[in-house]
Amino acid sequence: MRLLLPLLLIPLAPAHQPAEVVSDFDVPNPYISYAVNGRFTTGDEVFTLHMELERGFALPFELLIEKRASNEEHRPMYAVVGPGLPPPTDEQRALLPKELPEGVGVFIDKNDDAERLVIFESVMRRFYWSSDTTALALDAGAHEVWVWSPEGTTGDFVIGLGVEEDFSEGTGGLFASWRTYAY
Amino acid sequence: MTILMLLLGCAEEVTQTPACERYVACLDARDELRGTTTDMLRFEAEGDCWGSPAGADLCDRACSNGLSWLLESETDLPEVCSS
Repeated sequence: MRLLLPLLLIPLAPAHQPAEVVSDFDVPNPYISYAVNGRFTTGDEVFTLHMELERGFALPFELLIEKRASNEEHRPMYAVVGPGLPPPTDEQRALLPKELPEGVGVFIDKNDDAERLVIFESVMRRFYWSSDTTALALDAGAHEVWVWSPEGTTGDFVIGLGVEEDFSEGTGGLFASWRTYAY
Repeated sequence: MTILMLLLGCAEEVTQTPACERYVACLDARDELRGTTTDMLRFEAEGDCWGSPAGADLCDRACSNGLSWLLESETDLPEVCSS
């Protein structure tokens, strides 16, 4: 019982539709939630998710790293890039892994909080460190999410979009890669 | 063990949190100011956020952090955003 009570206090993450990004991933339906899994093998990759929004939409984002000793230093960042977001400061621009296109702004999550939120994710059945979720009010138009490893660390990550559980569009082929991400 | 069973067995009713109420009010006023429309249905009182405790917790954090970021990054927000 003493062991179970702390477990009950750990936030649970609702299930997102799983998917996999190798370098680029087109989000088929940004109005449902996704957990997009990827792996840094060299540490200098920049993973890019592409989303086309037909209307302004408030969309939550979260970066997850599996909680284990070998990932303690693995802290990728992500940026959301698109119309209506604010232009970056010079300091923010210097963090970005590539040139920001003209006419778009950016949100950057540095994922560098000293205290890391721990959640239990119910599909992969793993504990993760979370960058914490932030809802962004996005304008209609083309958006990208960039994920990169500023310190060149290698390892897996999950970028979560949205909230609602919805598996109506299948499991994105992720379960074919179950061994890659779950073990 | 009885307490544990009770904790797991009770269906917890979840409702819109104050953080999401503030976030929705802010986006509504911001939309009016900018002449835009933002779909934020999931965060509204009848939204999908409030279907389970796990979803509600995620939404609450999303709203709280989303509002903080708006306040940091936009200087011309309506007053309701900072109240």
